[in-house]
Amino acid sequence: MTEETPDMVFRKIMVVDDNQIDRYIAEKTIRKYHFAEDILQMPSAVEALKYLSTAAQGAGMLPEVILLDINMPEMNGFEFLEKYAELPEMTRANTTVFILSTSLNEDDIQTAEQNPYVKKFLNKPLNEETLNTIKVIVGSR
Amino acid sequence: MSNQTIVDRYAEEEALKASEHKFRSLIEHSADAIMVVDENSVPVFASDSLYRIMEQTPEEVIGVRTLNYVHPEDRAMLEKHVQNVIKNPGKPISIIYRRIKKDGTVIWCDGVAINFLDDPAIKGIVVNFRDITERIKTEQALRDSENRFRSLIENSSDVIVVADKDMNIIFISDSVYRLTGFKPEEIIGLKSMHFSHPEEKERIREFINNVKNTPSLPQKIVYRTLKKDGTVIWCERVSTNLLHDPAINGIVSNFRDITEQYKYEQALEESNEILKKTNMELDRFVYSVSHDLRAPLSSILGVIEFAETETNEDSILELLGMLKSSVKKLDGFVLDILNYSRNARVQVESEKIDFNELVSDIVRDLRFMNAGNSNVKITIEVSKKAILHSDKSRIKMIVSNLLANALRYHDPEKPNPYVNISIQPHSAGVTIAIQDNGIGISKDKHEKVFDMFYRASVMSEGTGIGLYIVKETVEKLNGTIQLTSEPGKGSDFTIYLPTINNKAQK
Repeated sequence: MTEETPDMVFRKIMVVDDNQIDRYIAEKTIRKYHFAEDILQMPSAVEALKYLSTAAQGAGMLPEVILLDINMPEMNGFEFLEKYAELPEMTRANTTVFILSTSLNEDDIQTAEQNPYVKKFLNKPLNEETLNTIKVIVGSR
Repeated sequence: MSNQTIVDRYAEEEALKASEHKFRSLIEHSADAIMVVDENSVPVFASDSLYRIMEQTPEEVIGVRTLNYVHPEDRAMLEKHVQNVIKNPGKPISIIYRRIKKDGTVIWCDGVAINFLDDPAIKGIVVNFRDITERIKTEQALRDSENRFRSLIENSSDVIVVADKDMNIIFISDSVYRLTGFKPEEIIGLKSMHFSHPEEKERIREFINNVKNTPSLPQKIVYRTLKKDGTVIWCERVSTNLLHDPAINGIVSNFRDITEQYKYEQALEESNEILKKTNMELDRFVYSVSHDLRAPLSSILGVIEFAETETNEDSILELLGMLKSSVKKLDGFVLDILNYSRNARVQVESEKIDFNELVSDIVRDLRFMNAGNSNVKITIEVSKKAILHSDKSRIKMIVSNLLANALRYHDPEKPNPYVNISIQPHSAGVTIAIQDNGIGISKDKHEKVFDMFYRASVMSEGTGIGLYIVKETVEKLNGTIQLTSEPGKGSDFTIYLPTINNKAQK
């Protein structure tokens, strides 16, 4: 699949993860492979939601890609998706959600992939291969 | 004496003879025995038909008065009867009594005696009797069967109630006393509803309406009823509307006390609930433990992989590689435990298996995770006739484990390492064969490889739990697993899996 990877750089990407090391790896990897110009690090789903519903009103403020962890305190990935569904159509149309998790629970994977707003279930850690997968999926939209 | 007189007398005698002949033939052909006895009960006449009943000739009985042929227990009664007959001239009086034949056989006789002592033509008591043993036996059998039936009802722990169309009790078996403490006479005429628990009355009313509306159809209900002392018991009641049946003309109900059974079921349900809760908690525990263990591992893996891209130093890359393989092994262990716990507790689901999709998914995942084995050629052959309904995630786990083993234990000495995956139809299911030309397993280890925590190879990167889980899972899917292997040549794991009917599993 690598040979078909479109040559593209995203403007903005959001990483929603309570684990600081994972966010750090994500940022480093994204920067290293010039995956996106701007990275929004969100340590919780609540903050991510707040950003999406208020701060992102201005043009160019919305992340094109959201990498969402499942297992997080306060509000988990699935609860985030429920709230995400209530966001304005415009917001949802301009963002693509990927699950990035270590969960191998079949129920989690099924629940995630059956959610209309989830493009794909990806396994941690984030590496070049994973980033290319995202490019192929978003690029082919 | 004139000639005329002689002729007349002769004619008279002839007529008398003819009449007697007629009379005698009538008697002789009758099935009844007919005897005439005098006032002292001495037989003066006996018909030949006596022989058919008593095997006695008239000669044997005439002139001898004896009660020997009457059953000892009936002699007194017969004496009384005779007195009675003598007292009532001209009146037929009947009696049923036992006679004893010469060979000792007892027979039942129905006799009628008429006192014609004053009749100059007879001057005796005419006794007429017949053998009714068969009839008596039939009647006895009938009585016995009725008694048996009655005792069945009376001794049954069930209470049998017959109610009329207004649900007034018209019959109730004695067993009601054991069940409720009420005597039948205290209940007959009342309504059965009278004894039910106040909170149940509405349900019972509905039930009775249903029973009334569907004649002949037995219907069941379980409800609380009150004993005489106020104790609440649980009753199972089966009622059938037989109002239309002229032999019964009522609504028949069977009651039984199921309080013990009900309490037992309640307790079972409660402990089942607790068990379910425990299972769910365990599931959540395993889920969060596995996640909590895997999350930091994947963070470490992320850091290692990123570090690998940051350096060109061979010695550092080597160290990072060692770190990575340890982390992967640990992660594999957590996954195995997770799989084991899932297999043990999660219900078997059945769906149509798309083997092409399933196997290529597994191959892709394994290739992704173990780039080092990329020189092993994997061929997949799925027969179009291989159709299976079974548990997809479990099959995925089985095949994934076996394929990972085949890749892990490939023979680096061989120029063309390969793994063949072949799926073929087999009786009511399929066989999945995973065959490689890897390092193989020596015969003495074939049994042990399926044991928990057994590791066959010193080079093993495995946890020693993989094949154990494979075997457990195959068994959970009602299948079998077979191993053929020779060191240096390769291994062949063949699994047979039958189609699983979803309902049968639940």
